[in-house]
Parts: sequence; C-alpha cells; structure tokens
Amino acid sequence: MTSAETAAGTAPGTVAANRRRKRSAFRSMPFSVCLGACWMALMFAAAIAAPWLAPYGYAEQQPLLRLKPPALFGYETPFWLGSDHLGRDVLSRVIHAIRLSIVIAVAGTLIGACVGTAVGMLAARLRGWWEEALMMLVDVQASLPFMIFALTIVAFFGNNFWLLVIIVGLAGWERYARLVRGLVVEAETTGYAAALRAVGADSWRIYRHHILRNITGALLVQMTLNFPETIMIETGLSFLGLGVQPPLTSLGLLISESRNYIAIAWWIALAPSIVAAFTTLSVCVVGDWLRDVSDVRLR
Amino acid sequence: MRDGSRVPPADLSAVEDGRLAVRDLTIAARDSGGILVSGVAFSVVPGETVALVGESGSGKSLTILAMLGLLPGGVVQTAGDVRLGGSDITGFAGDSIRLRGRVIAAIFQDPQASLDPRWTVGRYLRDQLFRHRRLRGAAADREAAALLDGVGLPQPERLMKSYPHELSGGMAQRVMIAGALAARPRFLLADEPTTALDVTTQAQILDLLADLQKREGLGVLLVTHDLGVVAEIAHRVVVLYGGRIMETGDAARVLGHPRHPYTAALLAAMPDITDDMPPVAIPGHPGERPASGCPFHPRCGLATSACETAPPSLREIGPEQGVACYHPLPSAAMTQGLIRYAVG
Repeated sequence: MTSAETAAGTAPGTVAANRRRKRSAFRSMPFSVCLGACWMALMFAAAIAAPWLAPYGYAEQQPLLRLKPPALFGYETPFWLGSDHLGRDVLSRVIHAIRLSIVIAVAGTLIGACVGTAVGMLAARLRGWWEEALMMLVDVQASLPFMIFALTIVAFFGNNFWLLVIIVGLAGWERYARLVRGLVVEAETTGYAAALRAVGADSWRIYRHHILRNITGALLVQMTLNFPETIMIETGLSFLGLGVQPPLTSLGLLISESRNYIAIAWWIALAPSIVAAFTTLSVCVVGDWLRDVSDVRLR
Repeated sequence: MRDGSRVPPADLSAVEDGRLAVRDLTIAARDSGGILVSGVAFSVVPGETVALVGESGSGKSLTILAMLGLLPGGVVQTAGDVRLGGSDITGFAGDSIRLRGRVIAAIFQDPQASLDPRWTVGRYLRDQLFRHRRLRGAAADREAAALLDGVGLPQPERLMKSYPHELSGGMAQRVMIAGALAARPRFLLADEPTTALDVTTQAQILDLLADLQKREGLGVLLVTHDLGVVAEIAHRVVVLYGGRIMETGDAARVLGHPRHPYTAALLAAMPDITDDMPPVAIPGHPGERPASGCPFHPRCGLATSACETAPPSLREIGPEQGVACYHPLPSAAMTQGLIRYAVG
C-alpha cells in the first residue's frame, strides 16, 4: 500500500476506497468471466477493424470456388472457413456480420433500456392517471405480436438500417418499463426516497443519484437477457427479408442463408452459429458478474 | 453553486420566533373520501419535546407526513395548515420547499431502509453538508466526523466508509439523526424512531434525542405508541385516537391524571411492575370507526347518547391540559375533594 493511498484512506475520500474495492473485484474475476470478457473484446475488435481483418470483401464472389470446405480443417482451399454457394469467403462475411450484428444488438438494447427506463420512472413518479396510461401502453406493446408490428413498420416506412435498429430496440422496452416502475415504486414508498425527501433532497437528485444507481443491477441483468434476444430478433427479421438486406450481412442473415446448404456445406452455418452463441453467452456471464460486483451488499 | 462559502438563503427570519404549528389538519382518503385525520392542532417550540401518541391507525404517522408534505398517493390533505413562525409552509409548496430538511428534518421507523444501500455513511453526510451548508472537502469531512461524534458513534473515520448494511439498527438510526442534524434544523420530526430497534438500543436512542433536544435547542416531535417513552422524554403530549385529538397537555399532568377515558384506558393497558393489578386491555378494535360522534364511543365505558351524535370539541380543562370529551374524568383535586367529602 503506497503512502498516497493511506493518506487518501485517512482523509475519508471514499473515491480511493471505492477504487481499491473495484480493483480487488477485478483481481478476483472468475475464469469464465475472464473468458467471456476476452471473447467480447475480440468481437468488438473484429467489429471495429472488419475491413482490415477480412481477407476478402464481404460481397466478393469467386464463382469458380463455390462451396469449398474450410482450410482450417485441412482442406486444400484458399478459405480458412470455407466458401459459400456464391464463392464468398465465409470468414470475411462473418467478420462483417459481427460488425453489423453488434451495432444492431448494442444500439437496440440501449434504445430499449433508455426508453423503458424513462417510461417506468415517469410512471412511478407521476402515479395516478399517468401511470395507468403509460402502463397500458406497456401492456399494448407486450401483447402485440412483435413480427406483425415490425412488418407494419417496415411496410409503412420502407426498409433501412437505422429503422431496423429502432425496431429491434423497441422489441424489449416494455420489460424495462415494468421492471423499473416496480423498483422505483418500491424505493419511493418503503425506503430511502421518502427519508431523503424529509432531509431536503429534491426529486431530480433522488432519481439521478440514488434510485438510478440502485436499480442499475437489475437493469444490467435485464440488458444481458435482452441482448441475445435482440440478436435473435434481428435474425428473425433478416430471415423474413425485413432485416439486413443482401449483400450486407449479419449473423442472422448468414445463418438463414446457410440453412439451404446445411447437408452439403455444413461450414457455412458453423462459424456464424458459434459466434452468435458465444457472444450471447459471454454477455450473460459478464453481465451477471458485473451485477454482483456493482452491488455493495453482495460483497 | 460556484461560490463554496455561500450558504444558500433560507427564509430564517420568519422562523425566528420559532413555533411549528399545525392548525385544523384534516386528511382524507382520496377514493372513498373517508376522513383519516380530523381537525388536529398542536404546536412545537424549539427546545421542547412533544409526543404524538396513539394506537396504530390513529393518524399519528399521517400527521407527521402531512407536516413534511410527504403524504402517500392515496390520501390528501383537505383542510388545515402548517405554520413555521409566521409563514405558511403547508405541504412545503413553492418556495418553502427549501425549508424541508433545513429547518425541519425528519427520521423514520426503519433506519436501515431509510439509508440508500449504495451510499456510504460518509458520502451521505457529505452530501447533506454540501446541499444545506455548502461545505465540501476537508471542512465537510471534519464536520461529518463531528456530527457522528455528536450522536455518539465512535471511530467516525472508519464508519464513514461503511455501507448501511454494515451498520446495526441503532447505528443506522444514529447516522440518520446525524444526517438530519447536518443542516442544523430547528425541528426534528421523529416517526417512531425506536420501533425497529431492540429495547436497550431504544433507550440509548431516546437518551440521545433528549440530549440533542437540550444541547441544540431542538424542537422534537416524537411519534410513538409507547407511553413509557412519553413519560421518559416528552414535555408535552398529544393523544390521538381515530384521527382526532383526545387529550393534550403537559406530559406529567396528562399521564399522572388523565382526564380523558381513552388516555386512562391506555394507561391501564400498560403493565406496571410496581402494581399487582394486571394490565387491562381496551375492549373492541382500534380500527373500528363509528360513522358519527366521538371516535372512541364504541369502546368507551362512559359513553352516552351525546357521544354518538357529535364529536366533542377540544376544551381547556385545567392548567395546560385540554380534553375532547363530554364526560371527562374528575381531576385529581376533585377526586381528593370527593374522598374527603365521603370520609369526612
């Protein structure tokens, strides 16, 4: 322990104490979490550096080299992970697909979380008539068959990438709204919110500094549950031809394309499926761990 | 915000003659319109402890929440006002919101639920000190340590790094009190501050409250259902039943010579170690409220038809003693006189 650290310890700057606490939490990171974090880092790196990492262009066709098996398994072909029915390099397509899928999943999850949290907090704060109205909206969203909803939106507004992100984001907001409303109402009625009001804190302060911090754990878990779902939704939409449009690729689109050739060219499905599965698993494991470290009561 | 030394203006001039008064407070359920608290009036002066006593459902907690402007969603204040010195602070509406926490602070039943589980004690106290007194850095740390010391908590440096779940109930309540005192309030409203604590800790917290009230000249409004607590630290007492004041006055006088049948029944229901008489429960249920008349008449042995028609109003019955009853019990002097008459 350095002298600077002990000095910070005696002057009760909890910043130093917190930093120490966080550092020790990272040191005791379980192996599975470490693996998950590494995998996520790898995915983000691939997403950022896709054009430089990919040996071929994602739409580059080599008709003479169609359905070649992967060199990784010892076949004599120029493709590490094989090629598809148009002679496109599977590895390059997966790398580009990661990029698109991650953008959609991250942006979609964030949109859902933000919209849902805002609606839930508003409902819990306003109570009464407003709460009823907002929660009715939540029920409507929850009871709507999502694919029909997405189809309608695409039918009206046409298909473009950012619209797709918004649709995917709106797929989960009602769950955040319900969760957040419940948590905030609980804090407001039984706990520290009333006590803080009584000693002079205003609502804005209580929501920003106290309630939001306290519900982060639950939100984080909901987000890690939601993240794989956004990937699945994107896959579903792409499968129906409403999602990412060829020649652009996403993990979902790759998997759905590969399905026609699964009997004769299994390798087209292999890489995107593994990437999708590992990514969702990593997010779940890391998210769960993050919730545990962020909760002071579980330490 | 930028000027660290400036204390934000609080309308303290109006508070100078310092009297926190509730007048004609009436609270009703929003949906059914049922009256929960009716015409409650009392006042607290800095330097005295007033106890608000009653069974559960008597409206004592609602009264305190109304004073803080923190009534829960289902109920509304339909009449009455809360005054601080000369100014109306009912519900802390408008500008007077700045006075909440600054001039009037409050602590609640369950101290551990009242502290944000993710904030350390130090952060909570520093936040209070900055918000109310614009103290920060080393000055805030010193003051926070002094506050913790003032509520009898040892090792303030270590404690400030603790999270609420690391504290015992008594410690948490002391931290709550320290946080409430950070703003140097004139009044402290305490809503059953010892209910969630074990008996030995209860006594310590009450001692602390009594001590602070003397040392800081605080006006303490203590909500409790424990008459032992009242006898121990209250100067004056307000007895509530069914949302109405039954009896009010000097604590020793009211507890020594209750004039209202309800107060007398409450005292009789308390076990007494020096007395062979077993405690006598009040018949009936506290929840049942008659449609008209005195709220206590269904359970009162002295009730007559007059009690069923209209509730009696609170009237002065002796020095510093008021009672809302058509058939008040005889005063001590009168009892003695009667005895003398009967004997002589």
